Amino acid sequence: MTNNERHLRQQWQQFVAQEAEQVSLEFDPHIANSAGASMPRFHPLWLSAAAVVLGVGIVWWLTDVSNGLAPQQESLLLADAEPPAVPMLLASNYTVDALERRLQQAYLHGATESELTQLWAQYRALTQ
Amino acid sequence: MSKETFGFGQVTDVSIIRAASKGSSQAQHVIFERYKTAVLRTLIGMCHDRELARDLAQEVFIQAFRKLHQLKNPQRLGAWLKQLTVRTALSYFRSQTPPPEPLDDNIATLPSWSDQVDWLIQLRDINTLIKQLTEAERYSVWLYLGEGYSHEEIAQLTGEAAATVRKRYQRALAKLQAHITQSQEQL
Repeated sequence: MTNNERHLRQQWQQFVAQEAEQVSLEFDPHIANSAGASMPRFHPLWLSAAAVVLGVGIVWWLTDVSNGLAPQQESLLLADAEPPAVPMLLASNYTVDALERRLQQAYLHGATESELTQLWAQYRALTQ
Repeated sequence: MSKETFGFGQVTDVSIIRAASKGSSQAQHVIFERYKTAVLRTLIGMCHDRELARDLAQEVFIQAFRKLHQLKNPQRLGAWLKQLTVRTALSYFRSQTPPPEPLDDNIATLPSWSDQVDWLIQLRDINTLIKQLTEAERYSVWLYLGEGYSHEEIAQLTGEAAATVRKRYQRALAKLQAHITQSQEQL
């Protein structure tokens, strides 16, 4: 390297250092977020297990609902033939699932028009 | 890389690098603070534009934290970051429409800078002097003089022949000398 090159390097580096001091560069958490967005992530195994459990739970729930809406066997209907002993004001009775069962049984057992109207009103109140 | 400049040569703890590669904002902050000056200086040298250098520095750190998990040897973080910085700037230059650049024709008409002694000693205004260079001339000279890359390494980074890079460097220095000579004649 010649003297000219050394001198140019020295002058240029000093200039660059002075310029850099005038630049305000702050850490932006956005840098980390945008970097992390495309970074390959390794999910722990328990998350996969949780997904499986969740999936099984959903299948079970869907099966249960479809069974509840489907026509039931005679023996089961007879067992439920008695009017519900649980007071209607209990919160557990005001779920959509419970109301659907009650509606189904009401139709099967020839409930009166006013009972059906009342049940449908409750059903609409929950589902609308 | 044949020479390390101050800043990129700093050593960072492996645990910090690992945490940063896993997305730890605190670890990334440490790396950012440690190397931001070095990144900025390299970019200012290459761009000669503070605002552009700041924007590119942000891009460098985004890329760095995105690719940090690819770093095989944590001891090489500084060198890796330096190369990423240079590549980010070169990538930016490539994305712009470059003006046509004369290569061999004009160099013969310029004075031979290496034959004359210490003409740069009389340099007063480095800012104006750097502005005489084209973009490619500027970053070629800066990478060689300021960052310590060889012409072959610069050629590898730019995807050009080493002879082209060397000629561009010689032409750039000859141009600088012509400018200084002309300025002195006008005084």
